[in-house]
Amino acid sequence: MKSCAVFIATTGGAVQVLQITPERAPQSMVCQNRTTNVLPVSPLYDQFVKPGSGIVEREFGPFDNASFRVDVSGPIDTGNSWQLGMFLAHALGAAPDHRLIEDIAAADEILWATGCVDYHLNVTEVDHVAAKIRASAQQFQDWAGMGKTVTLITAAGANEDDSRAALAGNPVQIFGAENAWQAGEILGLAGVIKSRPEGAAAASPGKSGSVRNVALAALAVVLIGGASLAALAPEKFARWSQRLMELTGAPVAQEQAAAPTPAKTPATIPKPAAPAPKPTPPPAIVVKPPPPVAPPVPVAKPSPPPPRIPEVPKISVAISRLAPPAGGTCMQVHFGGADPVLKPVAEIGAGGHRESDRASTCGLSFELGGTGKYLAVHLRVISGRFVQASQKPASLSGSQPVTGVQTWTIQLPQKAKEPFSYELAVLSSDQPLAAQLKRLRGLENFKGAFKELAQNQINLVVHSHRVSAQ
Amino acid sequence: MNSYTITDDKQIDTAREIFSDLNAMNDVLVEAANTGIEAALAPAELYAFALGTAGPNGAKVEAALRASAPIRAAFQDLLARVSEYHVPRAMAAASDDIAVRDGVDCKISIQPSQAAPDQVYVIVELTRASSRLPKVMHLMGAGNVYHRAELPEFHDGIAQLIVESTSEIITLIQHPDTEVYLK
Repeated sequence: MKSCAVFIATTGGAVQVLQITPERAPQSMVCQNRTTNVLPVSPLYDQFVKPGSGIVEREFGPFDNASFRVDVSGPIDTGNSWQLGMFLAHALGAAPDHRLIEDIAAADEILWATGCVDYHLNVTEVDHVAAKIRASAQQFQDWAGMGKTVTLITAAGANEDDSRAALAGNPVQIFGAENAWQAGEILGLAGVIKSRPEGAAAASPGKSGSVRNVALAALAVVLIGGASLAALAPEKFARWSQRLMELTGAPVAQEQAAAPTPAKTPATIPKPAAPAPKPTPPPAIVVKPPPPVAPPVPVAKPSPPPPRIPEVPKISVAISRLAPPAGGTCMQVHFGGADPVLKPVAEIGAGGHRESDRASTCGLSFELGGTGKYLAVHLRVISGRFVQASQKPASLSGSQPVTGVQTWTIQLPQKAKEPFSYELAVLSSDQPLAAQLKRLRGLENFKGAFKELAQNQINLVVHSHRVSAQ
Repeated sequence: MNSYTITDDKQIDTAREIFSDLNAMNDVLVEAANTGIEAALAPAELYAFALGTAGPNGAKVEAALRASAPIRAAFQDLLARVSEYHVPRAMAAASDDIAVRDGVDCKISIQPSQAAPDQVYVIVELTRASSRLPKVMHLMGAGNVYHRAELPEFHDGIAQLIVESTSEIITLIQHPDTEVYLK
């Protein structure tokens, strides 16, 4: 059994992770020195842990208890650079042959960590690394005096360079990790981390090169949320994609559209905007304006043109699954090792859609169009969680004029205890819709809104869909 | 002439709520004047205390609430008018300590900490969304006992505190005669 003491670097000195305890309370918390002093980073830690938004339960769970309480030796006020140390502390707890230890004298190894860990397990750079090392100088000296093995882990790149410069001549093993899996491997913990990035290689005490993996991760994000980004800035998107392709040296396959003949086109950049023409599903629920009333016809004078009743805009909604390619997995899709394939979700009438299988659904893509000048969308989650990998496009907020089809992509957690069930409400009108969208968000059900909106020449359609639990 | 710029609906909602609260405070003070209540506090101090901004006079207000039944009655009346969530007295069927208190659209529960046996979690759950989330928990116990606890931010309708298991807030929550107002 290997015992590790974990320290989180702060500009006020290194703060030790004293213990991590499963709790039955709903929210995870970070407390100082076993007191009731709850640290300000607690809400961030809670998000970091919980399924859906966080990675701890995803990588080390499922857990019997709802939350964790972490006790640390000092204050951690702001930022996210605690994430790497906290992730590794959880990894120690999950490993059968390792343990987190508070007693430094009894520790086999002392870990000093700083870095952010994103949803895809990339370790990203943080500020003030040199200042954090200076603030820990006395502790490094004390540990050296005790003859302890001290391991410093930070993000590969500038943070690693800064660490080497600041600790030159000190007996500290310095590692730059490109992802949390690499960081875990340094401590012999990689086996307990469920996700292994495609092609992940172990970090070495030598200098690490992070450009390629960072670019691959960015590429994955681009591919997943690419269409929506492309819709906003196609030229910039194309240049960015080209740059990423050059950096990674990897071929970038075109995302398969929901076409009847799926012909894969290798080594091309996903085409921005202008989605391929596709069969437009009939709007689920379309409220039509009342039939026009014919004006009275004057006897003597020629009849004036009948009053023009504005048409209610039409709306098109297409829901597609982001499926892994043949032989691939959602994990590969999320980590940039495989391109997702778009598969339309069949509509079964009245806005309902056929249930999708979680294992083959890495995410969902919504392609929304309307004949009105403005378009707004509200996704109401009935059960389960989703991950908003890319921001909902501003063009779907109802406050700016739009042309053409707008795309919004979300990712789904791979493991879920309950199905992801949702309703997608889409509004289209020639008038701005921000106020109506806000009102729609507050409604318990949308039924009552149809008539009122239709009277104002606003069309509302509601689509429902469900992705099974695991 | 003064000009004001209202930038969004939230500001309007906030203004509406503040005016509504001020109106409630005014009603309380008028009633208090009619019944001969003479408060040693400025109305603004009591009002600010009820709304969560205790300020430097918080201790003075708290002491007055403990010492003066009329002030306490006026304060409770104010809370009843302006609080969006209320947990009434409990109908205790047993003499055991109560671990859960149910109110209208809210619930307060106590959960022991596994990490520190002498500490407990106080979990405040809102089951109805509101435009303004409560910031303070006011506990009005039997025999002029009053306790106030600032609430942390709500996430997914839950605010969670951790306190010593022997603290006054726990004693009050577990007592069936305590009424709780969330404001």
